[in-house]
Amino acid sequence: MTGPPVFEERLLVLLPGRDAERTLQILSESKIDCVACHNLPALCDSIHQGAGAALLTEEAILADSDHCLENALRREPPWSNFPLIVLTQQTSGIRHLPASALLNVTLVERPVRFLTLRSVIDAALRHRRHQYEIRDTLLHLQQAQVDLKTANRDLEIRVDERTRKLQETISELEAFSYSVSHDLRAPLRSMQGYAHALLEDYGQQLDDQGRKFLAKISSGAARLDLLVQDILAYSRIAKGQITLENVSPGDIIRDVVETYPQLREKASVTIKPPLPTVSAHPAYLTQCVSNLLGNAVKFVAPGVQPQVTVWAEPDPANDHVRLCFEDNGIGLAPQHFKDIFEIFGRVNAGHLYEGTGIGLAIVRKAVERMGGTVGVTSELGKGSRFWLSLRRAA
Amino acid sequence: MTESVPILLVEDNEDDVFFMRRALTAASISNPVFVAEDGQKAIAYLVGTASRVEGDNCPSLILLDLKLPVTKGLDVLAWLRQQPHLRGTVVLILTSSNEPSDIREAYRLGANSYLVKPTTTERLNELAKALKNFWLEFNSFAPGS
Repeated sequence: MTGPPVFEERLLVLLPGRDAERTLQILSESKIDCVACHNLPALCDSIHQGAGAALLTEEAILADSDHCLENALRREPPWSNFPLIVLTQQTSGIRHLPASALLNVTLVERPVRFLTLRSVIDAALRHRRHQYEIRDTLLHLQQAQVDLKTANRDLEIRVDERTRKLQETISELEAFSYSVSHDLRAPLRSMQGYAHALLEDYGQQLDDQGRKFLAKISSGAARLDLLVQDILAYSRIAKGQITLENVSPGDIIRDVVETYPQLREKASVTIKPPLPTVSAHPAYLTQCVSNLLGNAVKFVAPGVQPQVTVWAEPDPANDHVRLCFEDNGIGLAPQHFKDIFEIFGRVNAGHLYEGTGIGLAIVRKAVERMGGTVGVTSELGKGSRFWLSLRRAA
Repeated sequence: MTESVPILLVEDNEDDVFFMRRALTAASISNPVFVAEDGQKAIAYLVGTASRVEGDNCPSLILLDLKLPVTKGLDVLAWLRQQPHLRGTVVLILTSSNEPSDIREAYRLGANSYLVKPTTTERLNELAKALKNFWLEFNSFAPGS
């Protein structure tokens, strides 16, 4: 790969006969790289091949009836403004210099003093070097733009690729949870069903211990089934597509209490109005409320009637509102405030309190999917206050 | 009239067949029960009964599992609803899946009801009783052609 032409510092000189020889000699002696051109077309060619500046006479330009120089300069790239040093007659003034407004011309009156010429040439070459520097900057910029475009294209290809892979993973996960719901639960039904059939058909031939073992098989299967269902509920909530709508939390809570006989009969649920309308997904919010109220009923000290009070209070985030669920349950130690919202983050011994350890993880996931947050404050033995922070309805 | 209505149970899991037969017996359902172990056999059975001279064995009630070998339950349902003489057949989906996509699709294809297989014998017995009570006693089946 060849880079752009490098800066050619040479000075093109077009002077008549004896002037040329003498000038070239003097300039060469002062270490200026000079090239003699025999006519204007030759000089134009050399400009095209790369040069620092040109030194020529007014007469040479005026004789250029074909606009050879003007055309050559017009062909130069946009960054180029080729310096011309033109020697004039003292009295003539220069009237016919073509397109002089566009040209980078320095006029030097004859007779020329060497020092003057030298400084004019130096200035012209310096100017020309700056133009090359600008050219290089432009080239870098162009290259950067090309690189950026390439990078963008590569990035788009990578994003497409990853999106495709992600979609594959999602489909695999969906297939997985579908298979879990079917295949994992079928043996559970068999375990429970045959234990039951055995008890029904051969129960008389077993002693108490034998019947107790069968009951344990059934309850083990039932527990595993709950677990599978909760994991499925969690994965459904984690991946489902939802649109939020205006929902009245009061209606949802009343519905949940109505639907679950355990809640209606065992617990007392008090709603302190007003509960403002929130932006939520009805099924997700229902799931949250039933899990929270279910926990309130489940985690009470033996012999205590579960009591839950629900109210709304302002949230630090202005457009949100906190729905608080306060119970009279066994409470929680502060070190568990975070764990319990993790999957399998249960803190109580399984033999005392039945549960899968997924209920609050479902609550958290559902609330997060609705753009909200969850939390709890509690004290061991003094009940808990769970809160859901959701966006107020628009 | 509905006393002798045959029931077709499309179910590949022999345990589930065993439990369902027990539950039907427990609910005193004496209707003849035919079992097809996969979707293809279910279709073959329905084609066979339709072509027989005595159309008596053509079931009016089908209990259809979704996850079946060879031909899936939903494909059986789709096929069934395209057969003019089977359009009125009552199809109850009986599956372990409670995936919203399955439920939606089953109703879209013309299922009459969607039942999730209960995991306990008690619930399965209740289901069989409810099935007898509603579909076999209160319900009127479409008259055979």
